Amino acid sequence: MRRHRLDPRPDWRERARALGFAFAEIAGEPYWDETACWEFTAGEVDTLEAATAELERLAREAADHAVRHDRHVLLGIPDPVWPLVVRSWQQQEPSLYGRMDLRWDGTGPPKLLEYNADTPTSLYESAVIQWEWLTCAFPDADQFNSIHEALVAAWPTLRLPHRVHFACGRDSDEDRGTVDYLRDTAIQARLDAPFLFMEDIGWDGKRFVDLDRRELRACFKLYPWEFLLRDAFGSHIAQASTRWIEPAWRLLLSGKGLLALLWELFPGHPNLLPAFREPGRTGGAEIAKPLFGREGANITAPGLRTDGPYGAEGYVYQQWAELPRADGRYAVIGSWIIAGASRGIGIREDSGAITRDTSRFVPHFIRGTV
Amino acid sequence: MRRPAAIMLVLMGGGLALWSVNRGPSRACVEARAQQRPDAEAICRTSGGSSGHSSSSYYGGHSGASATAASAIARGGFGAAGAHAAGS
Repeated sequence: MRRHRLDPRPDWRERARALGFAFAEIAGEPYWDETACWEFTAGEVDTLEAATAELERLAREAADHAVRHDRHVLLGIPDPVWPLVVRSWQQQEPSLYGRMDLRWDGTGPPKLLEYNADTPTSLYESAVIQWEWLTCAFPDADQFNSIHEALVAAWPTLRLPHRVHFACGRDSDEDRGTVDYLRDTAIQARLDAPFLFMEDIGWDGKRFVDLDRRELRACFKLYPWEFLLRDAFGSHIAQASTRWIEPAWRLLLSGKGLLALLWELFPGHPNLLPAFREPGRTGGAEIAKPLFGREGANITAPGLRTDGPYGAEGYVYQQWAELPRADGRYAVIGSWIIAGASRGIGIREDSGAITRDTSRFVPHFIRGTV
Repeated sequence: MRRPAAIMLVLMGGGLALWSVNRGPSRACVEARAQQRPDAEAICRTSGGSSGHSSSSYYGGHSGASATAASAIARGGFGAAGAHAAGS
């Protein structure tokens, strides 16, 4: 696993635009960054793939344990919400995707930092943009990336009606881009995939409806469950028959409480870091993460503190494992799960040790195939 | 994972097979065809067939839904808690 510095393609902006990649730059700063890339061996990719599959197995075991033993307090899931989560798990509502953030420097086992199991982004750049880069920069090389094919193939397995609505909030180009990319894959799977903003979802007294008063029988929402349930319409969710993607049981995995539950159930597992709901139990330096924090907000770690709106819901304290650093950049590996299987990676880098929403996406290739 | 063929897109970038030319049918046309809508060819004719390629902006969601149609329906009940960057 090695970082290389590269000259970016002179026309990378035009290429990004041609692919509809509307957030290649965010607030005037590069988000897509091809001034560098990461090289992996096939063996290293095997390690990442195996670790991701193993962590997915552990996560599902933990979800089952949580439901069977009523562990919603540990996970920070409020009492009124719990029956919805339990029902969703018991019905085994299918999941489309998730992204595990891993700490790995190419040595030892990869460690789970968190599981973005509800509303992961950086999907389009992982699935398509970095592949397009590969065909230009290393046309004979390979990449750990079958995300696109897996998404198209996954839709028919989710047991959804023919029309699936897609929704996100109004204010984020990144979220809109992710949703439109997922619509693209759904359309290729022969689904009808209309878009509407979360703010435009209607309630007719019995059903959630779109702007044409059509029922939302199934809805992909890039909008976290904890937001959904807190909103004014949250109280209608239990009585409506809408199938949500991701389903409600993903709350079991998307909160940082999962990290404490995993360590409780599988102490010493090589892909886990010690984590607890109380500080001071990991036996060393710790990072404090809000249970439902996002994008590196409200984090406290040795020498680091970030601001944000989260934390009132409680924290998880995880053993501090600083991200690997190369050329002054800290790198985290986002490992994609599509329909339950490990399908590829995307790498984010930052000048600081905490990955933020402004952290840059850096592509990768597999050595030995060049 | 070496792909045997190019990635196909039907919506992003106006709908294209990656690394083919960008001159293709309009996004509305491609989506209509992909969804096998009966009016797909009419949409393709009226949208000019060729996109002129404005893929940098995502096309909007529904703009219809008259006020009368929506009058009995409550809206705005989602989206308040996290209007910005709900993804992670």
